[in-house]
Amino acid sequence: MNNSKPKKIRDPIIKGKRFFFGEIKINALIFLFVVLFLSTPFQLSAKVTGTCANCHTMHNSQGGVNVGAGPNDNLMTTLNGATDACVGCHSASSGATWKDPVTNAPIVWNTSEPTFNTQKGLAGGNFYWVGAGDNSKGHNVYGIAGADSLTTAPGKTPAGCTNSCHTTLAAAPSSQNSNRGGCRGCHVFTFHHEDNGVYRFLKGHGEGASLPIDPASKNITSFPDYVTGVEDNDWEQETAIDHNSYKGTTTIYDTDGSALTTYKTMTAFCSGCHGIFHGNYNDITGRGMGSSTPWRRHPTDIALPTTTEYNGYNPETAYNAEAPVAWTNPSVPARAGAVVMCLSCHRPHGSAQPDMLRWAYSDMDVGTTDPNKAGHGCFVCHTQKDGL
Amino acid sequence: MRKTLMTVCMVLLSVVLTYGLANAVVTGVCSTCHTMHDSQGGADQGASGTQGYLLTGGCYACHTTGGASGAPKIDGTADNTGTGSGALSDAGGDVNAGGADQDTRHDIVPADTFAMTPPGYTSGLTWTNQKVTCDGTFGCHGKHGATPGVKGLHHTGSGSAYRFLYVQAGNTGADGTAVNGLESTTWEAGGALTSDHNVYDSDGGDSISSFCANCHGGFHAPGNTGAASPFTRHPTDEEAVVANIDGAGWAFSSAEIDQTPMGFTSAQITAGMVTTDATTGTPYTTGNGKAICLSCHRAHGSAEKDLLRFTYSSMNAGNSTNNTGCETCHVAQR
Repeated sequence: MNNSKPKKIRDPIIKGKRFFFGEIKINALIFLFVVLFLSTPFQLSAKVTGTCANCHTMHNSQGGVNVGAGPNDNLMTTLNGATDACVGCHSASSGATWKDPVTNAPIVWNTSEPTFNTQKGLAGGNFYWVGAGDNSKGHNVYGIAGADSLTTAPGKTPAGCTNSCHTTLAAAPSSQNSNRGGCRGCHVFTFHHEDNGVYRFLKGHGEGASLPIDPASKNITSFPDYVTGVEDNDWEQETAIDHNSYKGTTTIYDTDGSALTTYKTMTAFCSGCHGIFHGNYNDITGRGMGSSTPWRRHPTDIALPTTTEYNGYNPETAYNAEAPVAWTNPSVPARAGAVVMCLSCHRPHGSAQPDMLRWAYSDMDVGTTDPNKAGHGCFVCHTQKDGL
Repeated sequence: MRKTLMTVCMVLLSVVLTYGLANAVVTGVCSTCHTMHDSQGGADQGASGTQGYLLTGGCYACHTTGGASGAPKIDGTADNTGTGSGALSDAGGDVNAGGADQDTRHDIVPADTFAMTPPGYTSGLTWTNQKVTCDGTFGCHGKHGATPGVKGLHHTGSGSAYRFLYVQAGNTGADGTAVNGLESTTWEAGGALTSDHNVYDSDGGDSISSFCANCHGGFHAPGNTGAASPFTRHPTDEEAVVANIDGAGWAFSSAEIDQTPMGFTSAQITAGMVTTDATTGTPYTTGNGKAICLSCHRAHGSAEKDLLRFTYSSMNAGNSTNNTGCETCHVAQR
């Protein structure tokens, strides 16, 4: 992890050149190959393989008794005593488990505090804290946490849907959310048995859709409102070797419902419920983030500048998973294509910090030289705001 | 010349017997099944004691080892050389294929002590310590309001009801509605073939799945499985396999029709479909075949838990070496 100023950046390309022009050219070539290999994100095939019975039950009946809560959509088994099939497969009681040992499903809710890495969760974070009762530290998802005091998603676009998942993710699947309650509020359509390019099953329900959601809008050719990206093969259980590569754009857009189709960015997806925090550009009513400095809200889907203090963070050569960026081309990350996004600061499932932040906002102390604060959080990008 | 005539007669007799039974209309020597006084040479005939309708034994006695010649066997003996699930069985399966494991069959084997309310049972009968019987009120074959349920049916044949099966919605005690279907000439002994296999009905109230729902109703019908994707229980009589699941991957072969048979429409059955879709005149691959209970299960029993046609624990998505069972239809999961 690198969170230092430009002078501290160790550029492996420069090191490679030194070798190349030195006496041991073979070693230099090997070194370059290794660097290239390690810096290229491993693309994980999200297509599920394995024994059908691990996840499915044909009639939710065995020996004359129900297999679990249900029956559930798509004949899913509800594991681990959960009330929701998604939660059952993607949860674990041990804090050390990050991948289900039987199904290989990534664990997003450890009912004991996660211990499998320093960030205490996979890339999307962990529901442990909100599941334990702290509503500020995760999305309140059905099967994990009940509804909090919020009556709608923070930053919800006023013109958006007035019920359903935009109001709460804590409601059970019902006609009010087209049976998309809980996890399916974000992972609207899942493609466990397909490798179709939909990043982490983050697919919209089709532009302008109303309840009930038309099942036909699952078709990604007819309704291409989905996120793209390159997925780490261990979902960032570790980030020293490789990491996710998110999709972003530097094109200015409003949250009018078409951005996800057009740009397929992570931020456009988040804007589906939290649109006020991204758009509406030039809206004099106070909505949106503005269109240029001075920003009214922290910008997202905006280029990480290559000038001033931002030049101190080169995610192409020194990617910091504590403050990830998106890329205009996730398959070929380049400094010029680095983009600030929602997930630069937040973990969508939850974290140990209020507002699902990746770090303690209260530790962001301008001028600090405290090694636990300086170079972290906001200061990864805002490199001249700490005291280093 | 005399020997030749004898040989021809023997051959003709065997053919007549074979095809007579294939239509489920029993023909042949009366004494094969009946005894007039349960006495011959001063000895008891067949099963101990006299039997109703002058039979030499009950249902199970005739349809298991040593039973009446020509009667299809349900215990893996005699004519059975089927290929389903590694067991030797007719279309309905083999009650002994699973050995002592009672989870592999309907509990009609005399030694079975297993007696439970049928999984998915909704309402109607009281199943206290009641095993499944071959026919009658708690049975599968015959009219549910008659005693015995199969009375007379052996001599009227499956033209009256496919394999003497009747749908009795709600278990009201009425005889029920005859199940529709076309029967293999050999009950699929040796395995179903593209040229000779059962054809099951998968629409309306006379389908084979509606019949199974007599006892397992909670696993059938839109109210229990969902009416469309996403289903909450595996649908039967609802989803057209080729159109909605498989795409181009399902090939109509003897192996596939044996491992995972589909059901078809009443109209197709009425038209006499056996190897092709009678509506379109093309092979099954472009038909309207739907998943039915028997797509996965063998009614009598199999070597697998839950009377399955395949080993459920071996159904492994993404394993290209196993394209049977679930993956016969779910081609995308191969």
